[in-house]
Amino acid sequence: MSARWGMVIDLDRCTGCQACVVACQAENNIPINTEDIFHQRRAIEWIRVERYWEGEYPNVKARYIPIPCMHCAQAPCESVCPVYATYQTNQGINMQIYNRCIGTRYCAVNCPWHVRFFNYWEPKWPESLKHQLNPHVSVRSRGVMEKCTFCVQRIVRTEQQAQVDGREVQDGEFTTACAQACPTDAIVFGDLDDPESRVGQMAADTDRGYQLLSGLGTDPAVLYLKKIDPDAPEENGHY
Amino acid sequence: MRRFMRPLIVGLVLLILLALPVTAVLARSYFLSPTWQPAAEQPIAFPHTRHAQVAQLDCEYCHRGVAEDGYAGMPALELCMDCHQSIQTGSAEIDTLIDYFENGDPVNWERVHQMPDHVHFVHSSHVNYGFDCAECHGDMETEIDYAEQVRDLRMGDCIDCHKEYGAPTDCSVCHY
Amino acid sequence: MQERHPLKGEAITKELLRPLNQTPMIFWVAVIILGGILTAFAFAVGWMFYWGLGTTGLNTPIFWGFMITNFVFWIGISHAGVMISAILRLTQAEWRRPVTRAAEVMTIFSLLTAMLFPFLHTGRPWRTVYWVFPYDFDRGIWPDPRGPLVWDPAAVFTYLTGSTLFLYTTLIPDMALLRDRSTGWRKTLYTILALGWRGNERQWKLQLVAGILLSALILPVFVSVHSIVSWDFAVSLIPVWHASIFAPYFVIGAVHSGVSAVITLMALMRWLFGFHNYLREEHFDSIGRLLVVVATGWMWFFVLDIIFAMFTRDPRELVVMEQRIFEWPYAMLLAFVFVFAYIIPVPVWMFQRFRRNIKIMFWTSLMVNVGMWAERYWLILPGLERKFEFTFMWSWYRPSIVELTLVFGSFALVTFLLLLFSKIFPPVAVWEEMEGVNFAQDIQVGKRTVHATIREE
Repeated sequence: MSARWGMVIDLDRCTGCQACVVACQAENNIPINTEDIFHQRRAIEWIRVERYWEGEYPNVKARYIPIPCMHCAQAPCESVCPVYATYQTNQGINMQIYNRCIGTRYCAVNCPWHVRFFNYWEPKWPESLKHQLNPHVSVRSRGVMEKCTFCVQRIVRTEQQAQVDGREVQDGEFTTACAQACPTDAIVFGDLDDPESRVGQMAADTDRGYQLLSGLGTDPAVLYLKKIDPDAPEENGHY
Repeated sequence: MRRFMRPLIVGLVLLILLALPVTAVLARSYFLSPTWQPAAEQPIAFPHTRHAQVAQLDCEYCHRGVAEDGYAGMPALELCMDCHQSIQTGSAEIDTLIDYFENGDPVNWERVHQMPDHVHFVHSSHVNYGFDCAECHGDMETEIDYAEQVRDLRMGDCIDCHKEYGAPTDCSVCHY
Repeated sequence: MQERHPLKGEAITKELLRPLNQTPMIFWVAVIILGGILTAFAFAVGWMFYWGLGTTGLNTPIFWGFMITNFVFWIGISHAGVMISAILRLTQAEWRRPVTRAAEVMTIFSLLTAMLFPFLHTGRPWRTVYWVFPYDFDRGIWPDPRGPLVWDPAAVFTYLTGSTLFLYTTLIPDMALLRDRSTGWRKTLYTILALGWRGNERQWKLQLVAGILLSALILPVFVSVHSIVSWDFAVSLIPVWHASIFAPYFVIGAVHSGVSAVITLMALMRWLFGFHNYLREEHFDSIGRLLVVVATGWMWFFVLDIIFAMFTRDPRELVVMEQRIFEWPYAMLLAFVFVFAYIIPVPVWMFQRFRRNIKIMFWTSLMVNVGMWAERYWLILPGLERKFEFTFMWSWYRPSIVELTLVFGSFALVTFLLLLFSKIFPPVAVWEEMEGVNFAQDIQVGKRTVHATIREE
């Protein structure tokens, strides 16, 4: 029960294929981001793949970085919400309670990672897609914030199953939609507090780990592993 | 005496003005309570007590998911027909049931406990903890014939019970 | 020392109460125009609530826009009331007398308008009720006092309550005066509002004590309100917002715009009601002098804010500062703020000849407020557009027609409320004016005899 859920994202494995984005959209009932919505710059992507160009033509390289919510232990979004609509669970998840949210949008203003999204419009699905909505996730209405929940519905269901079976939750028993969909296994999800878990071991073993904007002191739960650049000069025997 | 009358009246008016919104909120909360609403008319009047007492059926015999899943579930028509092929076939209600079955139509049961979309109530956790169904649904075995909501089951009610039994009151236990 | 032309008591009362009885054509024209704008305002609000905040120009990193800017602006204007009436009352500045009522009323109406905007801003105001009026006794969830958005309503409501009480205290003697001079429904209204005022010595003493007490009590609130509004920004992590200078900077900016708005209002009242004998040139002169100091103080903080950002040498701050100062359209906006809120008005106010020219004072004060609105926008928006180094998510903001209507509507709303007020309550405090007349004496100054007041207590 007292896990600290976290994620390790290996940028060396990320190909920028956006499978995580699509999986997340499907799992979490995220409204469809139409072309129009993108033009309004109001797309909702709980995890997004940012693409940066490096170098000058013709030696251009695309760099990808998937950015979900960091689930900071000291989250800047939490303390500014006037109604506790966003708060830290005892498992280290930064939760957004949709039915409590009143829409001041201060949390999103105060989030340095831009991973909080506001429902500017009432979300609509075409008739044919209504039956694909995930019944385990609330459909948000307009006027509320939403964000990555580390697929809390999966965590809760696994825990409940474990409780019914009278056992502990196993590492790797479930994973988030983005990690599940990643074809190169770049995203790994698990319990950071458990040294035996896969994320725990990856975080402990790597010398490439870093956190985004770690200087802000918010203690993010997402650890990135630096890209290994084959063109870079040799360093510590790698490549 | 007249000297005090005016401030008294003004004070009273102010008091009433202040009391009005409070009363309105309390009245709304009281009269909109789910237990106050009339029970929905079901397509088939299903007598719970008779099934529990005469047929000696367990709740779980029909609501099969209750111990394993979040949803207790409604029985399939085939389950009803197991018995009612031969039992009580003459009555009007059972004829309706047979009509549904033979036409292959689902029975559109009216939902009795309206849970909003953003609330995830999980039956299995509660049943496995050891709660009797009657704790929330009332005594369907001996007292309540036709399903109706007997317990408030709004958030305050949930929270009170969770506090009483030391269950988590984290928002994300139910809302996600 | 305040010069004045000797006036007779009854004439003063008659003249000051004139707007209540006479309704010039221009009043109806104003009501119709403002009513039209307010209808558009109501329609825009309805439209926005019905379709959602998608009808605004807000987008993903820019979650706060015109509505928050407008909120800050109107809170700023509301600082005029206390500045003029409470501070000047405590310092016994004689020239405050004809201005206090209008300033106080403007405080209250602009506060109400300002308070409207956070509610509009959330898009679903019926839910915002949770935020300000929690009644969740059985759920055990209350507002979170760690965040400035809870301090905000607390501060603003305190300010509103204090200002309303203060205004009412100063209204009571005038209500009694009107009660004795009116008939019909007005008499009933004024009788209730006068609270049995008889004008005896004990009542005057109580009224005086209450007035001084309330002005002293509002003073700390006056400073805290805009400080807390500034903390809405300063408490966040956003690079250029996260500045310790914000609180005093916002307060002095508020005084600058608020007092300028009082000048605009005075000029309008003088023109609309013909109060030439009361809102005299020397009043404009005195406020103009006050404004030179306030504006320069504001400019000092304005420059300090920029310098402090450079002081940190934090690249995140510098990126936004560079955008604010050198890039279109914020460079233009900065120039606009400088010119409108300082470079034109302040040198003009340096000359007594201009300070005593009502037309010039009207236009310069109006300019200051246009500039100050732009200043709030300039402060708030760029920080959001280039928030941290995720250039992938950087965005820009164009207000939609709905937001523009809301902003113009808020100006119409305050003006409309002020006009309505002037039909029911005297826009210049009659008793304060009379008190001033009673204090005035003929004083020998050199070879001239001046009818003026000297207060030495």
